[in-house]
Amino acid sequence: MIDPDVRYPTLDSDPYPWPYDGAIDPRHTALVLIDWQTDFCGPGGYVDAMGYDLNLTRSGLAPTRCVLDAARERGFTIVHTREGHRPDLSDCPPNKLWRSRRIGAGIGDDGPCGRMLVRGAPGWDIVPEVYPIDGEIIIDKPGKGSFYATDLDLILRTRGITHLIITGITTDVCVHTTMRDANDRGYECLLLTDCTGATDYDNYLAALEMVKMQGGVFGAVAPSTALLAALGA
Amino acid sequence: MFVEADPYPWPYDGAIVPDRLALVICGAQRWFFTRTAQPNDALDRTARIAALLRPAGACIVAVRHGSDHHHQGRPVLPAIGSIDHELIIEAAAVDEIIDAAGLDAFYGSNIDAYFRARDIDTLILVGLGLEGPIHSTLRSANDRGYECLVVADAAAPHDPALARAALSTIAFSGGIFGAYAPSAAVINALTEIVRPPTYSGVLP
Repeated sequence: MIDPDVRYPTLDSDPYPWPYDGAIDPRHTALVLIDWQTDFCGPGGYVDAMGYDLNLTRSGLAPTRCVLDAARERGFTIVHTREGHRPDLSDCPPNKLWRSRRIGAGIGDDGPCGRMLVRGAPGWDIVPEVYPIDGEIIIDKPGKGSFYATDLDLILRTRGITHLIITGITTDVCVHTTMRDANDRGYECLLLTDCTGATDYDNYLAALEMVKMQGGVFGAVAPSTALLAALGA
Repeated sequence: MFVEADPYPWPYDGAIVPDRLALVICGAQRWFFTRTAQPNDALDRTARIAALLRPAGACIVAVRHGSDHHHQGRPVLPAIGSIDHELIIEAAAVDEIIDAAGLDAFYGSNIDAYFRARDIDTLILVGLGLEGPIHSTLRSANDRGYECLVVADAAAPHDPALARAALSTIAFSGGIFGAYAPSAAVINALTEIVRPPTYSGVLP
């Protein structure tokens, strides 16, 4: 059984012990899993079609699964996001479509996993390692950020969520945009360094550094081992 | 006329139309001035670009990022009403001052409505805080469909060691957030579209 009154201590994170207000409270904290879709980390998906090394985006899957198991056991709110467009692409800005076609990975074009970045296509689905279970929140987003044109903020506020533990791909794009948006909205954010990856390793490292600027301008970062230790997992 | 930019000639649809263009100056405030590298250079280049754009009919917008509450005890934004919050460029040099509640100029502001009402869909981003307010604003603008260009040497970084990655991130995946270019390339392109008035031989 989940004890609703249990709290967990702050963890060993950079540049300050997270969270700022002294304890991890599962009633007010969500684990966010950003875009763990075949299109971003599976063979035949959108990122594969662009020619990037899938190991860079897949490497965070195993540690994310460990964190997901620990968070589920402890009653944290779990949020999954999926980037994708309507089949008629009516929610895809023309410049986004143009850029994708220009590098040979056109949004809506047929690929080995169906139409790329289109809702309902096999490649758009979340990979089996971290697949949502009943009761978990799934957010469909047309852009990089998880707050724009979605009901994420409303759902988090309604649930009383004030703290976010963030995992997912890619670090410098969808993960950073979501963390920036959440931080502007007052959510206290932690990014798990081994539970995220980018198509370019240097940009991954820089994205982690940017979080830590000015005493933690976007929150804090830590490896998943630090979180699991704090949770006693 | 387009700008020679990375990763594609900007804008994507081939021509700069000044009526549809805004120069968005992020973070030109004391707060960011004291937290970025070589802010004066970035502001000088911003002024040169603005001086070309404004007579051509483009809109010049300055964003004041600020908060009226403590942000979890972390110094994220200047307090509204404080000296740190004030613009450090002349109000007369801009067409509109936008107050935003976040590092992202679209959060808690009327900037989207302001642009939509004027059919502005193309943005050139400059100012202080490449990895801070400029990147946050770029990301929000791009998700909303705006075609964006960051002027690399008119966007002062918080940490020069992170500037290259901040620019590279824009250009990855075919320009995932748009494109970036040096101010010289922007000025070249603008000089070609901004025809200076010629002396007609008749004084008014």
